[in-house]
Amino acid sequence: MSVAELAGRLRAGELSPREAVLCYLDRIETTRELNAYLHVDAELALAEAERAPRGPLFGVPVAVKDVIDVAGMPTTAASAILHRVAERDASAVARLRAAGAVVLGKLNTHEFAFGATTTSPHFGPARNPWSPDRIAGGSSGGSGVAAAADLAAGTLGTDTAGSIRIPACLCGVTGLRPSTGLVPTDGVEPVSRTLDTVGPIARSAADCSLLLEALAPGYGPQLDGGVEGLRIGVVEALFDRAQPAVAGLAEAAVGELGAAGARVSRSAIPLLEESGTILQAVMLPEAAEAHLERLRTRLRDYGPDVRTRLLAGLLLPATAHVSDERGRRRFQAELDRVLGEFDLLALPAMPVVAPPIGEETVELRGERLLYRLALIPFNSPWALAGLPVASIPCGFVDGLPVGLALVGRRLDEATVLRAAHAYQRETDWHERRPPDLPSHAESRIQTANPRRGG
Amino acid sequence: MGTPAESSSERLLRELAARQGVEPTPDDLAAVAAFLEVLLPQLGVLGERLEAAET
Repeated sequence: MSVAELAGRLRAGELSPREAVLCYLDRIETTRELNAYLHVDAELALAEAERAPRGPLFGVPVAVKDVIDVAGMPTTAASAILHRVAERDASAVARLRAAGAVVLGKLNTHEFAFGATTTSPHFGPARNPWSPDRIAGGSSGGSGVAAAADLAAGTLGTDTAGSIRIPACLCGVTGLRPSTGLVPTDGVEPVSRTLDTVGPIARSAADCSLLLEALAPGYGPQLDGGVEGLRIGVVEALFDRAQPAVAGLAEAAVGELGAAGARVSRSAIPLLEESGTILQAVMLPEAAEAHLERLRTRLRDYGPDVRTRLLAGLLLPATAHVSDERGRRRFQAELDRVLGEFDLLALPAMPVVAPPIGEETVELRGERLLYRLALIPFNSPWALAGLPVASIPCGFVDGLPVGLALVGRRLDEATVLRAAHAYQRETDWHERRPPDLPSHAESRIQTANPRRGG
Repeated sequence: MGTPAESSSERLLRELAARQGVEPTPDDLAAVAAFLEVLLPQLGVLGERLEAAET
């Protein structure tokens, strides 16, 4: 059930917030092997359900990536280092709660949100609901799993260099990285203070739009505007780089947008290759700075991959910082010029489908590459420029989800979600459910109304 | 003191880390050196590209 439909039924009194929470708690319990949640707080959620404000998300059960503070719940960042019970909500959580949402618990993440697999050595991997021996992507892997397996109506993730879009894509759901700065990041364990964002992962663009309305009061949805006349630039270099079957589905999705009235043409992005390097030079030292005290005192308690990246950030030469600042300004200017010609850019959200857990390389066009390097050009450029990007499901390869990414101009989330919604009105990829899971929470919700004998 | 198998780049990294109060193991330093072996040449190319674009 969509956030909108669930919220409507809750507002109409066809279902109580308590009943909705109980349905999701039941489902979370029966899918524990997916390891989506690090912490479920049934008592707090049920208490919150009793006093949820009558806002647009009245009684809607949501879940939050475990780098974002929720008052009364532990924040661990899937690490062996951090374990603080938050005294207050992060602003993003406070806004969802003020709109009426009820927080079920905290979701699995790559350790300290600093990686793209969500395979914490301390808490275990989040498992992809479409194939549990495969990764969910990351770093917001638990959010992707929870949205795909109906373990919350909507979720919050964070995205520094792809961490919302990657799991949304690999889990077959919709994720939105908002423009940098649109949603406050206080109360969020930082990766890179100038790149970090907080955004929704949910079933559909319409659901993400509803969540974003609560998260960002400045956002004005235009979901029903269609795509007639929108100029979409196809980032051809990235279609050429993705696995052919993945690129083919993304190309078909762009074709659908064209058939719906968008004006589609090729687009070349200057410094596309270099933008990933620039982002690394920005992100790594900022992450090391955020972790410096822990690097001094708890170095051995980090997982090996995160420890290596943090140390790399600590030890990068100062000349890298000079290049990153110049490069960032230059790349942003180039993208501004490109987005003067287009309303949106389109590309495959990821070059591959979800790899098996533990597999560090992927095959791309006959070449084996490190997974973490293969995905950089698909995710980093737009993060570096602070632009809004949605990943939307657009098909399956060997039973595994594929996504299309739509990139908009800065603070133009409305156009990104409008195009995503137009696509989802014509397709049902976002409605597909992973096989072999217990019956969905919504089927229980359909009948859970004891007051009416349901 | 470096370890016998420590390369010059690993020794430099260890000294830089120590100046910031961080004490990585030889295995940590080898992993970081391998990571930077990929990134630093890319940064070199980036610098050249930016120079070319700005002149």
